[in-house]
Amino acid sequence: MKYFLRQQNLQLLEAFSFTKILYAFDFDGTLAKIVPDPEKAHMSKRTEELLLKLAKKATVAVISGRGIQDLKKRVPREIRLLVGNHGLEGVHPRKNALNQAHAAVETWKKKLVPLLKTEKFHGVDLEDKGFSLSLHYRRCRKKKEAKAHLLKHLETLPNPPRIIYGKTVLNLVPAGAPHKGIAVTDLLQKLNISKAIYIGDDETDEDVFSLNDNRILGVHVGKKKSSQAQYYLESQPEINDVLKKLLENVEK
Amino acid sequence: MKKEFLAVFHLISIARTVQELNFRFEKKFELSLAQWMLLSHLKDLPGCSAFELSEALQVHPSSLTPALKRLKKKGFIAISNDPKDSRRKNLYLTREGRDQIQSLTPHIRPLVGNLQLTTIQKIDQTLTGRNQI
Repeated sequence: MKYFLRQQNLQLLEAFSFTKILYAFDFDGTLAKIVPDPEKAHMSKRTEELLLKLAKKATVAVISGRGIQDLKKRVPREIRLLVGNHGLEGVHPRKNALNQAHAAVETWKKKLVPLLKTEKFHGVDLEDKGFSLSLHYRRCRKKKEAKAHLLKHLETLPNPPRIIYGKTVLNLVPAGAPHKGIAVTDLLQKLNISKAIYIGDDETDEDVFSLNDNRILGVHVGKKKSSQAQYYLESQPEINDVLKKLLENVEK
Repeated sequence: MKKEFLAVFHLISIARTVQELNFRFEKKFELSLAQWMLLSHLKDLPGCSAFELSEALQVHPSSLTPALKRLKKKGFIAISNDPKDSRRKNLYLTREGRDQIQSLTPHIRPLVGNLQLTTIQKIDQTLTGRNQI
């Protein structure tokens, strides 16, 4: 893993701007800072301004674990390429996969709602994203215990979900459903673009990084040895430096 | 001379002319036609390996090495180590390389004149088919 904003890598970044490129970003932890209450997550004014300018000159997509409707409230409407629910709600959604995901989510909800009312799970919030669920345990006093209890119960759910670990949250996604990696390759194919730069910080972003697809240049926000991304940024605020550089390149 | 051999003579003549043009372009613009083609492909494949580029150009990877060295020396391309695979080198165009392609492109267009792409492709395919000889 190499630091992305090194001089030599900036030259590579410039070379990307010579052809048609898809610039794709995760939302939470990448375009927006991670905040204790996910409802309050938003892009800084500067990030939004830079992203908008870039979207006017190049192809920009935002790919998030949030539902599309939620994402639409947080991303300027000029950015039309939005993918939600960890890749499930794509630009061209697969109806069959969505129906199956929705059915699975309803079954899990039926089991989880009564369970979460018990004392053991006090402070756990269930977020229904339509095609996936999120269990937030940041309000729990004993977070580790709450997580362990949740995991134990999640194993017993029918059609066991794929569990994606986030910061004080467990995301439940239907196993085998389209993920962010599929969303990026789908976008490349549908837009007839040969290369992409993908920047993300989440575990689900590893679905993109681990594709080992030479068409995609992966950048992880934060240095993480286990990540499959080729490059990293030190921290989230550096996203503005990247956007600024990308914009400079496309404007030259 | 039999008439059917005339076509072969024309092909040989084309090969000689292209070689000569290659030489003249390199002298005048620092870039031969073959190098221009390589850079044009690389423009759309930033960060590719030499093997990927050779596949796109439909040439043997070993035949690319001298051209890549020359282009690097001229500052038209850059080569970096892949962060994930130490055996792999990533190739990409520099701004100078991009500008060079752009300045050369208007001189390339008149070369083919009114010739149809399909005609040229047919000749190319016919000759490629004789490669096993």
